[in-house]
Amino acid sequence: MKPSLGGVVQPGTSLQNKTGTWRTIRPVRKNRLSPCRAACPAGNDIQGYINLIKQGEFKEGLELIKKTNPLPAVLGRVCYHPCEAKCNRGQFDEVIAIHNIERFLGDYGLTLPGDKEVREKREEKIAIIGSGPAGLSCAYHLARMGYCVTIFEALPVPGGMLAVGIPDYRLPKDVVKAEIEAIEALGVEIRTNTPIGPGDNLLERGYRAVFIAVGAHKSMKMGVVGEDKEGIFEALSFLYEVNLGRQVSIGDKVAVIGGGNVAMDAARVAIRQGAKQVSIIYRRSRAEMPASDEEVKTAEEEGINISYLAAPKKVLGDGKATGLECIRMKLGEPDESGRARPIPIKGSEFTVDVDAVISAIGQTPDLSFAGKELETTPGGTLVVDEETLATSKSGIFAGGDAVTGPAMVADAIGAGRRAANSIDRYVRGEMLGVTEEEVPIASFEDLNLAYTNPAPRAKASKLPVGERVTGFAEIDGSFSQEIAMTEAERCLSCGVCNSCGNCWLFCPDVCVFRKNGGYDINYDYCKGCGICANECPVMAITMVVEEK
Amino acid sequence: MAIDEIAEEELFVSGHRACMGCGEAIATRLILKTTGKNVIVVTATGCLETFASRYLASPWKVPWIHPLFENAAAVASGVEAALKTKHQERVKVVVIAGDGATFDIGFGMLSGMVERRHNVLYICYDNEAYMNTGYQRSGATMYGTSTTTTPAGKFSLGKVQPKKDVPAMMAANGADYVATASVSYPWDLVKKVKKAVESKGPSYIQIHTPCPTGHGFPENKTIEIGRIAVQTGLVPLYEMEKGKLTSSEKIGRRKPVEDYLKSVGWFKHLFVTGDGAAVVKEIQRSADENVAKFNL
Amino acid sequence: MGKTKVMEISRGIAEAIKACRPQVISAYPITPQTHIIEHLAQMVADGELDCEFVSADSEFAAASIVHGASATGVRTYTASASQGLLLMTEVLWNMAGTRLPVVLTGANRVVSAPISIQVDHQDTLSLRDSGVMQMYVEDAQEAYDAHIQAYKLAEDPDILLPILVCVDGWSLTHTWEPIELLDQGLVDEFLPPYHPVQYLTPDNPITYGSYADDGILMEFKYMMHRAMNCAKNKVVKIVDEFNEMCGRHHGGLIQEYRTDDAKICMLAMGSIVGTIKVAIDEMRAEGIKVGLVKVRFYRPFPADELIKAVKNAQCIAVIDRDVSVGAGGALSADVKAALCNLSDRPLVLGCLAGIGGREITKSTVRSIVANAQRAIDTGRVEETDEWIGLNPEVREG
Repeated sequence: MKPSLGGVVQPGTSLQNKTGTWRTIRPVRKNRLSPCRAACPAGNDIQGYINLIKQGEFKEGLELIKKTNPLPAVLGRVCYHPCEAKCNRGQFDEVIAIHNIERFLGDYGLTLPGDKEVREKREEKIAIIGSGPAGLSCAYHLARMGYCVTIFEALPVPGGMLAVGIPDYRLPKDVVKAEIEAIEALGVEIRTNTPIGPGDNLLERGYRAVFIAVGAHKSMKMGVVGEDKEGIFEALSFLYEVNLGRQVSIGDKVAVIGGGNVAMDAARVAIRQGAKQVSIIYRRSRAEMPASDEEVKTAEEEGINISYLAAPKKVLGDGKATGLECIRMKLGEPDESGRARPIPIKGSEFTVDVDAVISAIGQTPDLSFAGKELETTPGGTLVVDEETLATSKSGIFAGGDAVTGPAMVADAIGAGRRAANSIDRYVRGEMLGVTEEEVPIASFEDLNLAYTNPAPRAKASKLPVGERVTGFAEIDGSFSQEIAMTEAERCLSCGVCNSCGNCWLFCPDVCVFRKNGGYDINYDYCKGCGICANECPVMAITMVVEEK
Repeated sequence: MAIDEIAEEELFVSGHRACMGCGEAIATRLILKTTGKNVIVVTATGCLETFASRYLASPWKVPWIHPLFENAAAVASGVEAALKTKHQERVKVVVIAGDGATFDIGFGMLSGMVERRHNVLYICYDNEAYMNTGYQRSGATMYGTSTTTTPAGKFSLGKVQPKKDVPAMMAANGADYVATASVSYPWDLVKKVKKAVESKGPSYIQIHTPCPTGHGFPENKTIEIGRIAVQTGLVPLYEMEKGKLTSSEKIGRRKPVEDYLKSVGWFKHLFVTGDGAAVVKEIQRSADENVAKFNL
Repeated sequence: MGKTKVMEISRGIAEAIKACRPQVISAYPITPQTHIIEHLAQMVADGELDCEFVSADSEFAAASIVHGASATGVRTYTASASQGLLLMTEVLWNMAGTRLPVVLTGANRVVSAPISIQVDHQDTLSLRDSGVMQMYVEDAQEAYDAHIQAYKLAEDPDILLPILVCVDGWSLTHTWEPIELLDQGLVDEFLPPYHPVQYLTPDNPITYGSYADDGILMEFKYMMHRAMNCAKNKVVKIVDEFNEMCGRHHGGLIQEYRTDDAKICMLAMGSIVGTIKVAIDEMRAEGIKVGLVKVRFYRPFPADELIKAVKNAQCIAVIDRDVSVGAGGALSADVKAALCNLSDRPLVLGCLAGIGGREITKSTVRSIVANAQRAIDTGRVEETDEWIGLNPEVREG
């Protein structure tokens, strides 16, 4: 070929030189699992919805969270946020206020008109026993798949613990009502005051499958003398009555036995019912207490006194409780729960004056309706396959507290979704168990924090302590849009590409290009230098040995 | 600055023959994204010219000329004069040349270009040595560096002279706008190039571009190394307008110079015997001096 | 046609350049070209010449400036001499390879050391390999005319190479003679505005100065070589056209003076041609059959024209105002090379004369002719190159 005049070369002709042949390693774009998402029992795509909120796309964020959680306004109030415990930002400055952001999104959802999407209806009918979070979640997902769902609820109101267990100051009833109504609007039928008994064989009544979500509403007995005297309450029954709007007289001096969240709730409701002196008695120490730190702290702020390493022995009084004899405990070897066994200290008895005693030592599921048909554990919960949530009887699935014993609302929500997927596969005759690819979790060490500046965590408002105990008004405030968006900016997007553009900015060989709002790599020219992977703040690019 | 404020169009495309992880390639691409296509670029002989101008394989999508090693500034002056006679002053003349061409062999012509006040933006990509020919020392090489012409040896701990302060000389020469930048701080670089393009007189920007091949570090660490260098104070980022210091990028949490020296191969001789400690001390002193002088 | 005025020839050259309407001029002072650029600076200052005048910081810079300007598609000019020309060397090679039609005046002067500001041809001849065309002018009018012809030649799309118009320092640059300046209209017609084939512009972003490997570099060189050889025909056309325009003809690639039946033919370049012509007229009057070939273009080298002009002579005496140290005169070497394959060729006397500004007088010419006759008589040439007028003391020891 004749040389050009003066050696002139046309622009961009270097593109014929495919420098991709130089590589020995190649960058692969592969998202990792954010630790928050890994920790969430409901499997919420937390990074995903926070990223959408950051950009002001609230509607899209809501749609995303509702793929896994139909009750964001509820969870944004009651969840104990295991996500925040794992949030990597905590190792940089302060964890992201995920809980508050979820609430913001849920409350935003309540302002929108309902889901109008028309879905292709399937003819199969599915029955769900129990309208608590597990049942509601299962119903929601099945309805979105087009199934005809009926929930049988024994109580006069739907919602399970959400309606009758958790007090208003933590979870206002109108919020629960609104989110349940949104689920009903999908075509789910909730029949309240309709308990299911041993004789009711739903599978024979035309339901293709059944999901048992009865929760754990049977209170355990304390096993002390005088437990049946007047003035002794079971915590759940006490909470039911108050939540259903009925006044319960408990007098001035109340002792609550137990160390879980139910005990905290019972104590705080007791104060609001007018008791002047409420104390909690727990047989182990603070470290072993199952109640969340937040709950304990707020209970103490409200003037509740907690006695550790003490247990009730005898209820004193004729017919009506006037006192409670307790005994001091010491911690011994771990018991079957893995926690130190409390051992009574001989001769350490002491008496507490009481008008009422509220027992909150634990709940188990009431499985009497099922008869002897289903396999149960020694602890009284239903046995299910961990992956498929199938019980010992074909066509019957179970999840939530009925299987796990008392756990978090988020656990129940997650179980409801997994059950819905299982039921769907069962109905279609597909394999029940589905193995998912193991995605590594993005740890703090994986991140490149050179591009992050410290910023303080946003805080929601709280009712001053003095105003709290006078009634049941909601204590925690909500984030405004601006605050939610600002807090969302702090999310490090661990493991998930959020289109920051560093890879595109720093590629010396111009082989990262914009695609569909994100980025992709042109392997024709990529020399495998690895700068993109090194400068990716979130570890969404991994270097992999080039295959010959 | 948001990522979508940086122009999408690629005026420097793939297929060039730069080493993997080349800092210059990154800088050149960013420079052209900031100037846009209404430029004429002059590049002196050096790495950039060599990897980006093989016959029939040009990655440039702007008009570009490589004349010789020492005369980029003078050729740019001629291009600018020609544009003036054609009344096309909106076309900006930009020189992109290495430290060898700028600090040493082409320094006289750069001084002449600035003295004559040509409207040219002269950008020096500083990888601190004659990298293209095999890492020989230049006036830009830092004190204590082991290069192939100032190698560490039985009687040598590397270069004995300090780095030439060309930005100060350009300011004294009369350049309207003088700035130092780093490829690891792209937003700062873009801001400075933008400012210089808008200037109507001579301007000079010196961009620190680490070189994995020459400096001796893994090729995926170019940006990281550049960042550490800035954070030690050894590469101060500042602006001088009409001869006066007008801005400097504060460092925040400063790193000791060892963090940089230990990450980069051509300083490793300083940590083999005890003799290196005095050199490290002097390097730390020069970093401290920068911090004080430029208020970092 | 034009106005004739007595002026310093440097001024005349400046007038020629002005008439050619360059758009960028760069300049760095060096004796003996400085007056040219000073005149041009004054013209610009007085608004007579509309162009960018850039005072460079060195000759390297000056050449680089016009390189850059020419690559941006405008007509350019610079001038230098001696040390300055050598400092431009790298750029001149670069311009030629990049095919830029820059016009330069080389005001011939000695290259140090020893330093001298006097005339010889060493400076321009040392650039003979560079790809830059070279023409040597004889007198004042030719100094003016040649520059105008040079632009037309260089800018021809088939050529596109830089050109050095070589003008003897002092004997030409600083001498006052009458020069006819052509009307601007005539010059404009002869030399239209420069329309470059390719140039630096954002509208067509080409890459200049790429790296060529062994597979293609020789071809690039060949294209240059071919372009310069193509200039030979173009020169003839241009000087004929110029002659038609204003009735002046200084020769094409060469000019033959009384060579028809010359037994002895002299070959020379530059201002000494004038002296030689006068000497030849005198000797002819005495019956000596002697003629002169004025070598006007040294690059491209007019081998064919020379052969045709001198093939009937018995001896050629080539005057070199230079020496390639360790070899001989540059001009005579090229002449000998041109003649070597002829079966029937004249003897060639290489004469190193006028080096370092030493005068070449009519008697110098006569003695050279006598040497040539001696060679014809003996049938051989004693010395390959003879140092004319060398102090005999230096030869001994």
